[in-house]
Amino acid sequence: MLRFLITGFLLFDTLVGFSQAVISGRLTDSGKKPIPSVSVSYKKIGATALSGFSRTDNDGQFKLSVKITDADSIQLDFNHLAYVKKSVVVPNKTASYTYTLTEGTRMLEEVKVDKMPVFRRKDTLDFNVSVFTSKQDRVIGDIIKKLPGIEMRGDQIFYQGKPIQKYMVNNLNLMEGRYGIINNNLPADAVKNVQVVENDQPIKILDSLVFSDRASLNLELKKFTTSGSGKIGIGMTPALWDINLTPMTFEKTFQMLNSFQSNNTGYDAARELRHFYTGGSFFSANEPMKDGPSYIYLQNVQSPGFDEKKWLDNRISLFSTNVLRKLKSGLELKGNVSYYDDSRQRSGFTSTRYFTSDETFVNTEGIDNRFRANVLDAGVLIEKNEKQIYLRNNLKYHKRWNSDRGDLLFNDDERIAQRRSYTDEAFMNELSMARFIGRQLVNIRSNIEWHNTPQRLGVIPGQLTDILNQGDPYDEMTQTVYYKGLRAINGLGFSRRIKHWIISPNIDVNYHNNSLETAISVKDEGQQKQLGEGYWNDVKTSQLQIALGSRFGFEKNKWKLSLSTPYSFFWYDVTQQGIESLSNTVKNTFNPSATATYLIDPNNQVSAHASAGRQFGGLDNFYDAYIISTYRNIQRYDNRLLASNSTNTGVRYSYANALKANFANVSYSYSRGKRDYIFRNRVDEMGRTTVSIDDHESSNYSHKLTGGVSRFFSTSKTVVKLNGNMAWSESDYLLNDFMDKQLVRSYGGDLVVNNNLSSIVSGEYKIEYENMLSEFGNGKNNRVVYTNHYLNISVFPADKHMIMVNNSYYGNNVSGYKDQFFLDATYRYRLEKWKTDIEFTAQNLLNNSRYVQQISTDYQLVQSYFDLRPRQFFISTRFRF
Amino acid sequence: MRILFFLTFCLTSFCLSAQDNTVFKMSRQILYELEYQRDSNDLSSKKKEVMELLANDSLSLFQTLKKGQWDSVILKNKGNPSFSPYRTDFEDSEYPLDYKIFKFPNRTLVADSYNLFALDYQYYKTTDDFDWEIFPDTLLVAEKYIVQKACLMYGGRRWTAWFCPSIPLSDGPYIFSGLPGLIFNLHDESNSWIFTLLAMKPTDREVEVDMEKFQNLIPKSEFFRSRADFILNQSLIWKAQGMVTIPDPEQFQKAVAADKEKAKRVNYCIEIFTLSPLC
Repeated sequence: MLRFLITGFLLFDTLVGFSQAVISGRLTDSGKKPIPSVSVSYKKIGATALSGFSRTDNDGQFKLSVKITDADSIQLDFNHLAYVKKSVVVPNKTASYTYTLTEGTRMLEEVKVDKMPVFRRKDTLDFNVSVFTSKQDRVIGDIIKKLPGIEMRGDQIFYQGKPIQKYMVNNLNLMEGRYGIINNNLPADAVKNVQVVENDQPIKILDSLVFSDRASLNLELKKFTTSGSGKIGIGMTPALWDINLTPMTFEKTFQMLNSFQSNNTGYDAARELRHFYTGGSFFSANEPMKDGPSYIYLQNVQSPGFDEKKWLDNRISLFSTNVLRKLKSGLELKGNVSYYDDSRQRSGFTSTRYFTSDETFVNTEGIDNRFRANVLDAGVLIEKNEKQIYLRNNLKYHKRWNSDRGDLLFNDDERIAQRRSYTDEAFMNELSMARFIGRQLVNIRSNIEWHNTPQRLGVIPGQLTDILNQGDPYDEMTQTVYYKGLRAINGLGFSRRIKHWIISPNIDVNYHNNSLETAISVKDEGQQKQLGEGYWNDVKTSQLQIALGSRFGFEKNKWKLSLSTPYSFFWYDVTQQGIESLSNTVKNTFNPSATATYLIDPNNQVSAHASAGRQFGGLDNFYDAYIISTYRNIQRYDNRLLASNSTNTGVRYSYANALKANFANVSYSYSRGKRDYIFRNRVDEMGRTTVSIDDHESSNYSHKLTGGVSRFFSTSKTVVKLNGNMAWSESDYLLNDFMDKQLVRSYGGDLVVNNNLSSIVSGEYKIEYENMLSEFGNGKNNRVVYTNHYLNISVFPADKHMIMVNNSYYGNNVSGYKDQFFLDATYRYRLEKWKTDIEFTAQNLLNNSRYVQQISTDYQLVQSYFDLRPRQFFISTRFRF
Repeated sequence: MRILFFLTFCLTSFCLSAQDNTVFKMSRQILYELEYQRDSNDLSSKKKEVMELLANDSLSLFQTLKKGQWDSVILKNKGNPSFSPYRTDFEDSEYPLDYKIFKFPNRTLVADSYNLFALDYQYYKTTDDFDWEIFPDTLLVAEKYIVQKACLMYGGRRWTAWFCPSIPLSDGPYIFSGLPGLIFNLHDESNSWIFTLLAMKPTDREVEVDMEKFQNLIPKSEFFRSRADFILNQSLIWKAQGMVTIPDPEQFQKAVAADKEKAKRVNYCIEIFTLSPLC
């Protein structure tokens, strides 16, 4: 009986669902004569797009089978050039009508059309590269940064304020997040369209199961090709070189990118290999392999926050090879090896003002540092991403050798030499698998990561005498650190769709095991002495986590909801210097989070998110004997886990109208944190700091409001982008036994206008403004204001010739220092036949030698100047493969 | 080169010989840019041509702009004994975009030729009933015109059109029509053929049509077949017709081989016609 009822209900539902109205009728003129060839179309009331159409026959008759089933009424439009356009609203039911059209010849206005700049196909936005290309543009990155809705922060690409989750060429993801090297070297004229796929679910097996609110970027090439770019140049002074040979091949099932780069011109070629994917996938975090923790540093000078080519004193050589092969079975094999040798010199001067509750004191440091890093990365990735199966195994090897030295002049008086060595060797294997068993999607994941990270800091003469040598001066202090870490994450998950719900329970078993051995030795009059108890650590920590949780997704009509409920048990074991300080200590956490998205219409969407919970941390700080981190910082911590509670909420609105190439987004977020500890900072009059953990509750909160709008004006070929931000926050700090609050209020924004209308002149203007007020507990406050202007103008006086002038103006409110203006110029001659440019560049024409800036932290204000690259001339040839 | 001289000589003597022509006054000129792939094997061998769609309320004519300009010159100088016309629109066109497509309210007729020496068109009827499927995708063109997507499977290709419902002209490039608005953009899936609207403006151009020619229609398939035969054996046919003379047998063999090579290389098939060996 029940089965009968269900069958009957389904049959009825099907019949209702698919019933279509047939609307017919006749059109006549005022004399009741039939009108043939009238276009008759129908659509939802107020909709832009037509849903169907027909045409009247010689008797003026028409007939429409209406496919709209979710509206009670529909709009009919009658169009004929010899009659006045008529629209009527009729019930969405089978019926027949007769209408009379009024005679009236319609004059068609003239139409003039440019190429379509942006168009949308479902969730895909296609940006026509040729529309956005100026004569001076060479690589695809030059175009992408101009596209409305897209913003570049350094080399990372953001769409509507969020980082893109994939960067593909012809739908293949060769570089796995290290897309900067393609973006900066693929010739723009090889690309037909830049496609942004909104709400892209990159894992095909999840396509109809798990929605995504992230965007991917795909470059659609004009043809399968071998392309890429190259540059060879020399300059002075000092002697400069810049070599970049980056050929790349994009075939249907094979892609390859090789790159050799070497320069001392201030360009950090290694940044092209930075991994930009964030957020991971549904199955795993897909995190890039990070270096093991560094406990020691050279005292450094803050680098300026502008174009590094103006200040980076470097010498780098880099090689990278990356291959992708897609097999007929759908399996993708990817391999990569990259290595670079990077030497840097950084010098400047820092004046640090410390605000304690009852006094303010100032220290100065003249800094001259030399860094050298050798980095090797290799990886093999196997991926099968299909509707019925998902398999991904990523094996990585990473090794970094750092050898740094720093010469420092403290308070114009004491010379201090620092030597730092740091090595990190790591393996990681990340496996994710998923397939359907019946209607149930089952996935397993396993991630194993291992690090071995020895490091050493030597300082001459020895510092921190009060703590390390009973107040007596001595020759040298040395800190050694041996860190080893193992992390294993294993999980099993299920996903199933039940009507509009997707339910995904999972269980994870995670294990972390770290060991930290440290020692401090002092040397005086040729005698090396390793300090005893309180100055060496032998810490072994292990953490076992069993996480049970479930994710719930709901998708219906215009709503998308998701809820995650992870509950975790932690077991901690710690031994310090052979003594068990934590034994099977159990903690548990519950960190629920939820998001809701409402699609107002295809262009507008709002979303809200909230999360709350408790976290335990501090295993990295579990050492109760001193570790020297810089020549004037030393710290040790109590044996305790650190608990913090946090609450985060936010709302977001985004608007993307491809029709008008208009984009906008605005978001607000609020976070509140409460900790059962506070870092106790103690600073002496020489700026020497000791840090420890106090059992004192502390709290912080912050409000952030960000937004942006961008638009392409096709008639004037102008892209305008405006971004703004506002934030206010409050946090507790404990300095020299006084607890206080720091309040920070900031607001700022930037405006970019890019014009390509004229074939003779094109230009880009950008203004950045930032205003930050920090108020400290003792009533002291500090306001930092930056206003930066950038104007880049390209002039094409004749065919093949280009002159480009780059102006940058940096204004700040630091008293006693002038605002700074930089001027660079480039002349380029194009050898069309060889697709090659000859470029002559003059950088820093005004020969500015120093840059001044200030930053503030919890309790200090740092003013620094930084030595810049001098005026330089450079001649180079750029070509494409 | 000798062939070229000979061709030029022949073409200078070309003139209108039709009688009892009907003159239509057109009211609109719609210009499209056609981007097409000349070489089937080379994606980069794209070429552009400006096409015009002349229309009034009862007829539209689609042809290359060059051909339209040429016909206007002929029409204006009709009866002028000192006017000695010769065609220029063939000069750089290896691909024969020589057609004129006439769309009447109830039928679409094509006048097409492929043999320069034949000096006359062949006429065939083609479909005017297209089964367009329209999609909700829309976009804004020139900050003013909302166009909508429609797709069609025709002539062995999947075509995508973007039409503008606010311009109630049920017309478009090539033989295509039947949408509730003017087609702004039309392309096939492989982008071998892309028509893009450049402009629409009023005109008072006159078009002369020899209506009698429409009485002698050949089947479309016959035209495509005979065109394929001609392209594959051009030198042989011309030699047989006595239109060219190549005394050196070796050079003649080269010309015959070149015909086959050209047939393979040049992308003739906007409609992939199964009866044509070229497509």
